[in-house]
Amino acid sequence: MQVSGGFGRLTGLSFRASPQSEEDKEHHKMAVAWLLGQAKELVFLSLDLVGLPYLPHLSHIQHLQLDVSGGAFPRLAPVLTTLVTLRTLYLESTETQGAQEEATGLDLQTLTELESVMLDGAVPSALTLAEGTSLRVTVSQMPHHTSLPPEIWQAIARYLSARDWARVAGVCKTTWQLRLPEVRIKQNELRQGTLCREGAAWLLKRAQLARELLLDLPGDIAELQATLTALMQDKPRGWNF
Amino acid sequence: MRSIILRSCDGADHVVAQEAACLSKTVQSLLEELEESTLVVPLPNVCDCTLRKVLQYCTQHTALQRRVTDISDELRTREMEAWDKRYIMVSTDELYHLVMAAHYLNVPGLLELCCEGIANLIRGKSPEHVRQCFGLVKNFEAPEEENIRRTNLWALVDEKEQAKK
Repeated sequence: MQVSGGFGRLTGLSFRASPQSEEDKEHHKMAVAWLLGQAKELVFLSLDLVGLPYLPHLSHIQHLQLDVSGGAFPRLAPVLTTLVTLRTLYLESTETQGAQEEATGLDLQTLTELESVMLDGAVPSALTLAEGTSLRVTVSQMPHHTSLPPEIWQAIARYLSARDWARVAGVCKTTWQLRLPEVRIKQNELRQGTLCREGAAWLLKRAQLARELLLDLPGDIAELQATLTALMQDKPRGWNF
Repeated sequence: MRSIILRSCDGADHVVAQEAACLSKTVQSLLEELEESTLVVPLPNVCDCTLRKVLQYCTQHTALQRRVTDISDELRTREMEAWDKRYIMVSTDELYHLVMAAHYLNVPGLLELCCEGIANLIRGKSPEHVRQCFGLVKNFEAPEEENIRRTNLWALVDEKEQAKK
């Protein structure tokens, strides 16, 4: 692209693109990066571009609207603190995984001119603002939560069957590593097939961590021993019969 | 009866009877620690909207508990259960914030109610559905996830299918 005089006097830029391929996407990013390098006088910038590689220091920028999906949030957050002329900030993220935003704080203490911040789907771990700033902050579409604390999951587990709990255990690390305070295994569940052998063994493994183990396995000693031995074919470490 | 002000993290004040506020053990212990003349209790972990909902529970339960003389225990319990059932009909997002608030404020009855509500929502659902439902993030490494999938395979098979075998 050749432009006489360049883009040095550009004060407003809005860029919307719908790339058809990865190649297109890369071209768009390169073009925008080049353009931003030229446009030193920008006052308004609105970019609908996923994965913006970098943001130059825009010394006159007052209104900034960015899409921070595609892992751009941690890269751009430190740059934002240098944009001291900024008056309005809009950050959007359409990602399904919010881990990067959650791990990144947004320190805007240096931005004393800031009047409005809107975070749409981009949720930082912390947001710090200049003291005395009159500010309207809107956080919308906050789809990602940190997991519930283990104590709450433990309380929830009391209302669930072994099968349902095993499903929930696969949700996240907190549920997988949870110490169940109480494990119940009933003979009739095994007989009726509502709890299979693998399920009972799964529960017995969890029982290593339990404070209370309730085995409702009526019958004579031989039957009880046979049931437990069968269950313990996949014997957890430290268990002996 | 003494009233106090509970201040949410976003600065909204709620005037509430101390008796109702003290269903929260956190508020109770804060009041014990703060000077007697203190009327405002800051709650930095609860937003206005959620605090309003929590206080609705506290006020209702205090009022029902106070009606000792005019109704029988059984009737009171039935009334409370019916009210609780209506109260907990909220969106999953609200439920998430409510359970977190009940945990922080330490309101045992409300915490149990929320946990039961969450259990009812996730019963029979796949891990992916539970994640979607509460906006939770899957944070397993790939090999760890494969191991979990293998270990939990029995739970993902339909219960009735399993019983037939």
